[in-house]
Amino acid sequence: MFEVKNLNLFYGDFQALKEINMHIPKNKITAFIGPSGCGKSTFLKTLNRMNDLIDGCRITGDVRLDGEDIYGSMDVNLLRKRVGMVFQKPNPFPMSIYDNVAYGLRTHGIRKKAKLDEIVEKSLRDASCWDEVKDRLKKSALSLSGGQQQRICIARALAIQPDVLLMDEPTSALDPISTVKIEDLATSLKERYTIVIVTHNMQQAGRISDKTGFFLHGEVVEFGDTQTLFSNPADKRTEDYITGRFG
Amino acid sequence: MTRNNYEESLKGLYHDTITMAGMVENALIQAMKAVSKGDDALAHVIIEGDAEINAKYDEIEAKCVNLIATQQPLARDLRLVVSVMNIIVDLERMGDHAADICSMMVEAGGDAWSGTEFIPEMTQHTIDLVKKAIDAYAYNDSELAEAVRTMEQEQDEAFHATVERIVCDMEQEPSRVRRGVTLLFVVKYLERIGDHAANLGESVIYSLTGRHEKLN
Repeated sequence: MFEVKNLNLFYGDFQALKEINMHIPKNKITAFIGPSGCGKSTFLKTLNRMNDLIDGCRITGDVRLDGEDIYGSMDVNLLRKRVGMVFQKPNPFPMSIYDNVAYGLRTHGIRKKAKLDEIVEKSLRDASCWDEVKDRLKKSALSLSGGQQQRICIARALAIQPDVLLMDEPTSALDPISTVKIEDLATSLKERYTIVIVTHNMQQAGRISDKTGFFLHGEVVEFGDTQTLFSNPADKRTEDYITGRFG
Repeated sequence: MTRNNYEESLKGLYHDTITMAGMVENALIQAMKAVSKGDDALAHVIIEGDAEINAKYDEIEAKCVNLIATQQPLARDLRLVVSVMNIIVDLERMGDHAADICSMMVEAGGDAWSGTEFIPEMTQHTIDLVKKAIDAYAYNDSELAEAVRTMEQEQDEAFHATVERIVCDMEQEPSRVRRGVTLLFVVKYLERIGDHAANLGESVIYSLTGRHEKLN
Protein backbone atom coordinates (compact mmCIF):
# COMPACT_ATOMS: atom_id res chain seq x y z
CA MET A 1 0.00 0.00 0.00
CA PHE A 2 2.56 2.59 1.23
CA GLU A 3 6.19 2.26 0.26
CA VAL A 4 8.46 4.69 2.09
CA LYS A 5 12.10 5.07 1.08
CA ASN A 6 14.87 7.18 2.64
CA LEU A 7 12.37 9.63 4.13
CA ASN A 8 13.86 12.57 6.03
CA LEU A 9 11.83 15.39 7.54
CA PHE A 10 13.17 18.67 8.93
CA TYR A 11 11.47 21.36 10.96
CA GLY A 12 13.90 24.19 10.15
CA ASP A 13 17.29 22.89 11.34
CA PHE A 14 15.79 20.12 13.44
CA GLN A 15 15.63 16.71 11.80
CA ALA A 16 12.46 15.01 13.07
CA LEU A 17 12.60 11.91 10.84
CA LYS A 18 15.77 10.14 9.73
CA GLU A 19 16.06 7.78 6.79
CA ILE A 20 12.72 6.05 7.25
CA ASN A 21 12.22 2.96 5.12
CA MET A 22 8.99 1.06 5.52
CA HIS A 23 6.40 -1.02 3.70
CA ILE A 24 2.90 -0.55 5.12
CA PRO A 25 0.78 -3.49 3.96
CA LYS A 26 -2.75 -3.29 2.59
CA ASN A 27 -5.72 -4.41 4.71
CA LYS A 28 -3.62 -4.71 7.84
CA ILE A 29 -3.36 -2.61 10.99
CA THR A 30 0.08 -1.09 11.37
CA ALA A 31 0.87 0.50 14.74
CA PHE A 32 3.60 2.96 15.66
CA ILE A 33 4.86 3.13 19.22
CA GLY A 34 7.61 5.13 20.89
CA PRO A 35 8.18 7.82 23.51
CA SER A 36 6.84 11.36 23.12
CA GLY A 37 8.77 13.33 20.51
CA CYS A 38 10.11 10.21 18.75
CA GLY A 39 8.55 11.16 15.42
CA LYS A 40 5.74 8.63 15.16
CA SER A 41 2.94 11.20 14.75
CA THR A 42 5.11 13.26 12.41
CA PHE A 43 5.63 10.18 10.26
CA LEU A 44 1.89 9.40 10.31
CA LYS A 45 1.20 12.91 9.04
CA THR A 46 3.66 12.52 6.17
CA LEU A 47 1.36 9.82 4.81
CA ASN A 48 -1.35 12.34 3.90
CA ARG A 49 0.89 15.40 3.73
CA MET A 50 -0.48 17.07 6.85
CA ASN A 51 3.03 18.38 7.57
CA ASP A 52 2.82 20.54 4.43
CA LEU A 53 0.85 23.02 6.53
CA ILE A 54 3.74 23.61 8.95
CA ASP A 55 6.11 26.50 8.24
CA GLY A 56 9.73 25.48 7.75
CA CYS A 57 8.92 21.83 7.20
CA ARG A 58 11.11 20.19 4.56
CA ILE A 59 10.84 16.61 3.37
CA THR A 60 13.22 14.49 1.29
CA GLY A 61 12.85 10.91 0.13
CA ASP A 62 10.07 8.93 -1.41
CA VAL A 63 6.55 8.09 -0.19
CA ARG A 64 4.46 6.08 -2.61
CA LEU A 65 0.81 5.10 -2.33
CA ASP A 66 0.14 2.14 -4.61
CA GLY A 67 3.22 3.14 -6.60
CA GLU A 68 2.29 6.81 -6.96
CA ASP A 69 4.63 9.43 -5.47
CA ILE A 70 2.44 11.39 -3.04
CA TYR A 71 4.94 14.26 -2.94
CA GLY A 72 5.12 14.36 -6.73
CA SER A 73 2.30 15.10 -9.09
CA MET A 74 -0.48 13.66 -6.95
CA ASP A 75 -3.22 16.17 -6.08
CA VAL A 76 -3.21 16.76 -2.31
CA ASN A 77 -7.01 16.84 -2.10
CA LEU A 78 -7.18 13.51 -3.90
CA LEU A 79 -4.51 12.12 -1.56
CA ARG A 80 -6.48 13.20 1.50
CA LYS A 81 -9.64 11.72 0.05
CA ARG A 82 -7.83 8.39 -0.24
CA VAL A 83 -6.05 8.73 3.12
CA GLY A 84 -8.44 9.81 5.89
CA MET A 85 -7.43 10.78 9.38
CA VAL A 86 -8.79 10.54 12.91
CA PHE A 87 -7.16 12.57 15.67
CA GLN A 88 -6.38 12.13 19.34
CA LYS A 89 -9.14 14.40 20.58
CA PRO A 90 -12.55 13.88 19.00
CA ASN A 91 -13.12 16.94 16.83
CA PRO A 92 -16.66 16.88 15.48
CA PHE A 93 -17.70 20.08 13.71
CA PRO A 94 -20.21 22.25 15.63
CA MET A 95 -23.11 21.02 13.57
CA SER A 96 -25.54 18.10 13.54
CA ILE A 97 -24.44 14.47 13.52
CA TYR A 98 -25.82 14.12 10.00
CA ASP A 99 -24.04 17.21 8.69
CA ASN A 100 -20.77 16.10 10.24
CA VAL A 101 -20.82 12.83 8.32
CA ALA A 102 -22.16 14.47 5.14
CA TYR A 103 -19.63 17.30 5.26
CA GLY A 104 -16.92 15.69 3.15
CA LEU A 105 -19.46 14.34 0.69
CA ARG A 106 -20.91 17.82 0.11
CA THR A 107 -17.44 19.31 -0.42
CA HIS A 108 -16.93 16.61 -3.06
CA GLY A 109 -20.10 17.75 -4.82
CA ILE A 110 -22.65 15.21 -3.67
CA ARG A 111 -25.92 17.08 -3.12
CA LYS A 112 -28.74 14.59 -3.66
CA LYS A 113 -30.46 13.92 -0.35
CA ALA A 114 -31.17 10.25 -1.08
CA LYS A 115 -27.52 9.64 -1.90
CA LEU A 116 -26.35 11.56 1.16
CA ASP A 117 -28.83 9.65 3.37
CA GLU A 118 -27.56 6.35 2.05
CA ILE A 119 -23.87 7.12 2.58
CA VAL A 120 -24.40 8.76 5.98
CA GLU A 121 -26.26 5.66 7.21
CA LYS A 122 -23.67 3.29 5.78
CA SER A 123 -20.79 5.29 7.28
CA LEU A 124 -22.45 5.43 10.70
CA ARG A 125 -23.13 1.69 10.51
CA ASP A 126 -19.49 1.01 9.52
CA ALA A 127 -18.39 3.14 12.46
CA SER A 128 -20.62 1.07 14.80
CA CYS A 129 -22.70 4.02 15.95
CA TRP A 130 -25.81 3.97 13.75
CA ASP A 131 -28.03 2.33 16.39
CA GLU A 132 -26.95 4.88 19.00
CA VAL A 133 -27.61 8.00 16.90
CA LYS A 134 -30.16 7.07 14.23
CA ASP A 135 -33.00 8.76 16.14
CA ARG A 136 -31.12 12.01 16.74
CA LEU A 137 -29.25 12.69 13.52
CA LYS A 138 -30.28 16.33 13.61
CA LYS A 139 -28.90 16.85 17.13
CA SER A 140 -25.53 18.50 17.60
CA ALA A 141 -22.59 16.11 17.44
CA LEU A 142 -21.16 18.02 20.39
CA SER A 143 -23.96 16.62 22.58
CA LEU A 144 -22.54 13.09 22.27
CA SER A 145 -20.11 11.38 24.64
CA GLY A 146 -16.37 11.44 23.83
CA GLY A 147 -16.44 7.84 22.59
CA GLN A 148 -19.46 8.52 20.39
CA GLN A 149 -17.89 11.71 19.05
CA GLN A 150 -14.78 9.78 18.07
CA ARG A 151 -16.86 7.22 16.20
CA ILE A 152 -18.73 10.08 14.46
CA CYS A 153 -15.29 11.36 13.37
CA ILE A 154 -14.45 7.89 12.06
CA ALA A 155 -17.80 7.79 10.22
CA ARG A 156 -16.99 11.24 8.75
CA ALA A 157 -13.64 9.90 7.54
CA LEU A 158 -15.23 6.73 6.11
CA ALA A 159 -17.98 8.66 4.29
CA ILE A 160 -15.66 9.77 1.53
CA GLN A 161 -14.59 6.15 1.06
CA PRO A 162 -10.85 6.36 1.69
CA ASP A 163 -8.42 3.48 1.13
CA VAL A 164 -6.39 4.24 4.23
CA LEU A 165 -7.38 5.43 7.69
CA LEU A 166 -4.72 7.15 9.78
CA MET A 167 -5.43 7.22 13.51
CA ASP A 168 -3.36 9.42 15.79
CA GLU A 169 -3.85 8.12 19.34
CA PRO A 170 -7.60 7.74 18.71
CA THR A 171 -8.45 6.36 22.15
CA SER A 172 -6.14 8.31 24.46
CA ALA A 173 -9.00 10.61 25.52
CA LEU A 174 -11.53 7.80 25.91
CA ASP A 175 -12.67 5.52 28.74
CA PRO A 176 -11.94 1.75 28.58
CA ILE A 177 -15.38 0.81 27.17
CA SER A 178 -15.20 3.40 24.38
CA THR A 179 -11.61 2.27 23.75
CA VAL A 180 -12.73 -1.33 23.28
CA LYS A 181 -15.40 -0.16 20.80
CA ILE A 182 -12.84 1.75 18.74
CA GLU A 183 -10.45 -1.20 18.82
CA ASP A 184 -13.19 -3.61 17.72
CA LEU A 185 -14.13 -1.14 15.02
CA ALA A 186 -10.55 -0.87 13.74
CA THR A 187 -10.26 -4.65 13.66
CA SER A 188 -13.48 -5.02 11.64
CA LEU A 189 -12.56 -2.15 9.29
CA LYS A 190 -9.23 -3.64 8.23
CA GLU A 191 -11.03 -6.04 5.90
CA ARG A 192 -11.81 -3.03 3.70
CA TYR A 193 -9.30 -0.38 4.73
CA THR A 194 -5.64 -0.15 5.52
CA ILE A 195 -5.22 1.26 9.01
CA VAL A 196 -2.19 3.01 10.45
CA ILE A 197 -2.40 3.91 14.13
CA VAL A 198 -0.16 5.82 16.50
CA THR A 199 -0.64 4.76 20.10
CA HIS A 200 0.97 5.27 23.48
CA ASN A 201 -0.82 2.19 24.70
CA MET A 202 1.40 -0.78 23.94
CA GLN A 203 -1.26 -3.27 24.98
CA GLN A 204 -3.50 -1.64 22.38
CA ALA A 205 -0.84 -2.07 19.70
CA GLY A 206 -0.48 -5.69 20.81
CA ARG A 207 -4.24 -6.29 20.76
CA ILE A 208 -5.15 -4.90 17.38
CA SER A 209 -2.15 -4.47 15.09
CA ASP A 210 -0.55 -6.88 12.65
CA LYS A 211 2.66 -4.90 12.27
CA THR A 212 4.35 -2.63 14.77
CA GLY A 213 7.08 -0.05 14.33
CA PHE A 214 9.12 1.28 17.25
CA PHE A 215 10.30 4.87 16.76
CA LEU A 216 13.08 6.55 18.72
CA HIS A 217 14.73 9.93 18.11
CA GLY A 218 13.21 10.14 14.63
CA GLU A 219 14.38 6.69 13.55
CA VAL A 220 12.60 3.40 13.09
CA VAL A 221 14.49 1.14 15.47
CA GLU A 222 12.46 -1.94 14.69
CA PHE A 223 9.54 -2.79 12.43
CA GLY A 224 7.98 -6.22 12.19
CA ASP A 225 5.21 -8.61 13.13
CA THR A 226 3.48 -7.40 16.28
CA GLN A 227 3.64 -10.77 18.06
CA THR A 228 7.39 -11.05 17.52
CA LEU A 229 8.08 -7.45 18.48
CA PHE A 230 6.25 -7.79 21.80
CA SER A 231 7.46 -11.28 22.75
CA ASN A 232 10.97 -11.36 21.32
CA PRO A 233 12.16 -7.98 20.03
CA ALA A 234 15.40 -7.97 18.05
CA ASP A 235 16.77 -4.66 19.29
CA LYS A 236 17.69 -3.98 22.92
CA ARG A 237 16.26 -0.46 22.69
CA THR A 238 12.86 -1.92 21.75
CA GLU A 239 13.13 -4.39 24.61
CA ASP A 240 14.01 -1.65 27.09
CA TYR A 241 11.14 0.55 25.92
CA ILE A 242 8.38 -2.04 25.94
CA THR A 243 9.47 -3.47 29.29
CA GLY A 244 9.44 0.01 30.83
CA ARG A 245 13.21 0.22 31.39
CA PHE A 246 13.77 2.94 28.85
CA GLY A 247 16.35 5.60 29.65
CA MET B 1 2.42 -1.42 41.87
CA THR B 2 5.23 0.95 40.90
CA ARG B 3 7.89 0.02 38.37
CA ASN B 4 10.45 -0.55 41.15
CA ASN B 5 8.08 -2.96 42.83
CA TYR B 6 7.60 -4.63 39.48
CA GLU B 7 11.36 -5.21 39.16
CA GLU B 8 11.39 -6.62 42.69
CA SER B 9 8.42 -8.87 41.89
CA LEU B 10 10.18 -10.27 38.83
CA LYS B 11 13.32 -10.94 40.85
CA GLY B 12 11.18 -12.49 43.59
CA LEU B 13 9.55 -14.78 41.03
CA TYR B 14 12.96 -15.90 39.80
CA HIS B 15 14.21 -16.60 43.33
CA ASP B 16 10.99 -18.33 44.42
CA THR B 17 11.37 -20.70 41.48
CA ILE B 18 14.96 -21.49 42.52
CA THR B 19 13.67 -22.19 46.04
CA MET B 20 11.02 -24.57 44.69
CA ALA B 21 13.63 -26.25 42.45
CA GLY B 22 15.83 -26.78 45.52
CA MET B 23 12.91 -28.37 47.39
CA VAL B 24 12.25 -30.74 44.48
CA GLU B 25 15.93 -31.62 44.00
CA ASN B 26 16.21 -32.41 47.70
CA ALA B 27 13.02 -34.50 47.63
CA LEU B 28 14.40 -36.54 44.73
CA ILE B 29 17.79 -37.11 46.40
CA GLN B 30 16.19 -38.06 49.72
CA ALA B 31 13.64 -40.30 48.01
CA MET B 32 16.40 -42.26 46.26
CA LYS B 33 18.36 -42.38 49.51
CA ALA B 34 15.28 -43.88 51.18
CA VAL B 35 15.01 -46.40 48.35
CA SER B 36 18.69 -47.42 48.41
CA LYS B 37 18.80 -47.75 52.20
CA GLY B 38 15.36 -49.25 52.58
CA ASP B 39 14.49 -46.39 54.90
CA ASP B 40 10.75 -46.60 55.37
CA ALA B 41 10.65 -43.60 57.73
CA LEU B 42 12.52 -41.32 55.32
CA ALA B 43 10.16 -42.43 52.53
CA HIS B 44 7.22 -41.24 54.63
CA VAL B 45 8.92 -37.88 55.17
CA ILE B 46 9.17 -37.42 51.38
CA ILE B 47 5.54 -38.43 50.83
CA GLU B 48 4.32 -35.95 53.41
CA GLY B 49 6.74 -33.23 52.28
CA ASP B 50 5.17 -33.16 48.81
CA ALA B 51 2.40 -30.93 50.19
CA GLU B 52 4.99 -28.18 50.78
CA ILE B 53 6.11 -28.38 47.17
CA ASN B 54 2.48 -28.17 46.03
CA ALA B 55 1.93 -25.13 48.26
CA LYS B 56 5.00 -23.46 46.75
CA TYR B 57 3.57 -24.16 43.30
CA ASP B 58 0.29 -22.46 44.25
CA GLU B 59 2.16 -19.47 45.68
CA ILE B 60 4.34 -18.93 42.59
CA GLU B 61 1.46 -19.47 40.18
CA ALA B 62 -0.58 -16.82 42.04
CA LYS B 63 2.35 -14.38 41.76
CA CYS B 64 2.59 -15.02 38.00
CA VAL B 65 -1.13 -14.41 37.52
CA ASN B 66 -0.91 -11.23 39.59
CA LEU B 67 2.02 -9.92 37.54
CA ILE B 68 0.23 -10.60 34.26
CA ALA B 69 -3.00 -9.02 35.52
CA THR B 70 -1.43 -5.90 36.94
CA GLN B 71 1.77 -5.29 34.97
CA GLN B 72 1.21 -6.83 31.52
CA PRO B 73 4.86 -7.92 31.18
CA LEU B 74 6.34 -7.92 27.68
CA ALA B 75 9.41 -9.24 25.85
CA ARG B 76 11.95 -10.90 28.19
CA ASP B 77 9.75 -10.21 31.23
CA LEU B 78 6.82 -11.94 29.53
CA ARG B 79 9.04 -14.87 28.54
CA LEU B 80 10.29 -15.17 32.13
CA VAL B 81 6.77 -15.24 33.56
CA VAL B 82 5.55 -17.74 30.94
CA SER B 83 8.64 -19.90 31.50
CA VAL B 84 8.21 -19.84 35.28
CA MET B 85 4.59 -20.94 34.85
CA ASN B 86 5.80 -23.92 32.80
CA ILE B 87 8.81 -24.67 34.99
CA ILE B 88 6.78 -24.89 38.20
CA VAL B 89 4.44 -27.40 36.51
CA ASP B 90 7.45 -29.57 35.67
CA LEU B 91 8.91 -29.14 39.16
CA GLU B 92 5.61 -30.00 40.78
CA ARG B 93 5.38 -33.19 38.71
CA MET B 94 8.97 -34.14 39.60
CA GLY B 95 8.04 -33.72 43.27
CA ASP B 96 4.96 -35.91 42.73
CA HIS B 97 7.11 -38.62 41.15
CA ALA B 98 9.63 -38.55 44.01
CA ALA B 99 6.70 -39.07 46.38
CA ASP B 100 5.24 -41.72 44.03
CA ILE B 101 8.51 -43.66 44.17
CA CYS B 102 8.41 -43.61 47.95
CA SER B 103 4.76 -44.68 47.99
CA MET B 104 5.47 -47.58 45.66
CA MET B 105 8.30 -48.82 47.85
CA VAL B 106 6.35 -48.41 51.10
CA GLU B 107 3.35 -50.26 49.67
CA ALA B 108 5.48 -53.04 48.19
CA GLY B 109 7.23 -53.48 51.52
CA GLY B 110 10.15 -55.73 52.53
CA ASP B 111 11.06 -57.70 49.47
CA ALA B 112 11.04 -54.74 47.04
CA TRP B 113 13.87 -53.01 48.86
CA SER B 114 16.21 -55.90 48.20
CA GLY B 115 16.28 -55.25 44.46
CA THR B 116 17.71 -51.77 44.56
CA GLU B 117 21.07 -52.87 43.16
CA PHE B 118 19.41 -52.50 39.75
CA ILE B 119 18.84 -48.77 39.93
CA PRO B 120 21.89 -46.76 41.12
CA GLU B 121 22.95 -45.92 37.56
CA MET B 122 19.48 -44.70 36.61
CA THR B 123 19.24 -42.79 39.90
CA GLN B 124 22.53 -40.99 39.35
CA HIS B 125 21.67 -40.09 35.74
CA THR B 126 18.34 -38.64 36.87
CA ILE B 127 19.77 -36.61 39.74
CA ASP B 128 22.55 -35.21 37.50
CA LEU B 129 20.01 -34.32 34.83
CA VAL B 130 17.74 -32.51 37.28
CA LYS B 131 20.69 -30.62 38.81
CA LYS B 132 21.90 -29.53 35.37
CA ALA B 133 18.46 -28.25 34.34
CA ILE B 134 18.07 -26.34 37.62
CA ASP B 135 21.58 -24.87 37.28
CA ALA B 136 20.72 -23.71 33.75
CA TYR B 137 17.75 -21.80 35.20
CA ALA B 138 19.61 -20.45 38.23
CA TYR B 139 22.59 -19.22 36.21
CA ASN B 140 20.54 -18.07 33.19
CA ASP B 141 22.76 -20.30 31.06
CA SER B 142 21.27 -21.51 27.77
CA GLU B 143 24.37 -23.65 27.05
CA LEU B 144 23.81 -25.61 30.25
CA ALA B 145 20.18 -25.99 29.18
CA GLU B 146 21.31 -27.35 25.80
CA ALA B 147 23.55 -29.86 27.63
CA VAL B 148 20.40 -31.32 29.17
CA ARG B 149 19.60 -32.79 25.74
CA THR B 150 22.68 -35.08 25.77
CA MET B 151 22.15 -36.03 29.40
CA GLU B 152 18.50 -36.87 28.74
CA GLN B 153 19.54 -39.21 25.92
CA GLU B 154 22.04 -40.93 28.24
CA GLN B 155 19.37 -41.27 30.89
CA ASP B 156 17.05 -42.77 28.30
CA GLU B 157 19.67 -45.38 27.38
CA ALA B 158 20.21 -46.14 31.06
CA PHE B 159 16.43 -46.56 31.43
CA HIS B 160 16.21 -49.17 28.66
CA ALA B 161 19.27 -51.06 29.98
CA THR B 162 17.85 -51.05 33.52
CA VAL B 163 14.44 -52.29 32.36
CA GLU B 164 16.17 -55.06 30.44
CA ARG B 165 18.12 -56.15 33.53
CA ILE B 166 15.01 -56.17 35.72
CA VAL B 167 13.02 -58.15 33.14
CA CYS B 168 15.87 -60.69 32.83
CA ASP B 169 15.91 -61.06 36.61
CA MET B 170 12.15 -61.68 36.63
CA GLU B 171 12.48 -64.27 33.86
CA GLN B 172 15.16 -66.14 35.79
CA GLU B 173 13.26 -66.22 39.04
CA PRO B 174 9.45 -65.92 38.91
CA SER B 175 9.31 -65.37 42.67
CA ARG B 176 10.97 -61.99 42.05
CA VAL B 177 8.27 -60.80 39.63
CA ARG B 178 6.41 -58.73 42.27
CA ARG B 179 9.67 -57.03 43.28
CA GLY B 180 10.56 -56.52 39.62
CA VAL B 181 7.26 -54.87 38.79
CA THR B 182 7.74 -52.39 41.65
CA LEU B 183 11.25 -51.59 40.43
CA LEU B 184 9.96 -51.09 36.89
CA PHE B 185 7.57 -48.46 38.22
CA VAL B 186 10.42 -46.77 40.07
CA VAL B 187 12.66 -46.54 36.98
CA LYS B 188 9.71 -45.34 34.90
CA TYR B 189 9.12 -42.54 37.41
CA LEU B 190 12.82 -41.66 37.18
CA GLU B 191 12.59 -41.61 33.41
CA ARG B 192 9.57 -39.26 33.60
CA ILE B 193 11.48 -37.01 35.99
CA GLY B 194 14.17 -36.81 33.30
CA ASP B 195 11.55 -35.75 30.74
CA HIS B 196 10.39 -32.97 33.05
CA ALA B 197 14.01 -31.86 33.52
CA ALA B 198 14.32 -31.66 29.73
CA ASN B 199 11.13 -29.57 29.62
CA LEU B 200 12.66 -27.30 32.23
CA GLY B 201 15.72 -26.87 29.98
CA GLU B 202 13.43 -25.96 27.08
CA SER B 203 11.72 -23.32 29.22
CA VAL B 204 15.12 -21.84 30.16
CA ILE B 205 16.11 -21.59 26.48
CA TYR B 206 12.77 -19.94 25.63
CA SER B 207 13.07 -17.49 28.51
CA LEU B 208 16.59 -16.46 27.55
CA THR B 209 16.38 -16.50 23.76
CA GLY B 210 12.73 -16.65 22.65
CA ARG B 211 13.50 -19.90 20.79
CA HIS B 212 11.28 -22.96 21.14
CA GLU B 213 13.57 -26.01 21.24
CA LYS B 214 12.79 -29.64 21.89
CA LEU B 215 15.35 -31.26 24.17
CA ASN B 216 13.75 -34.70 24.36
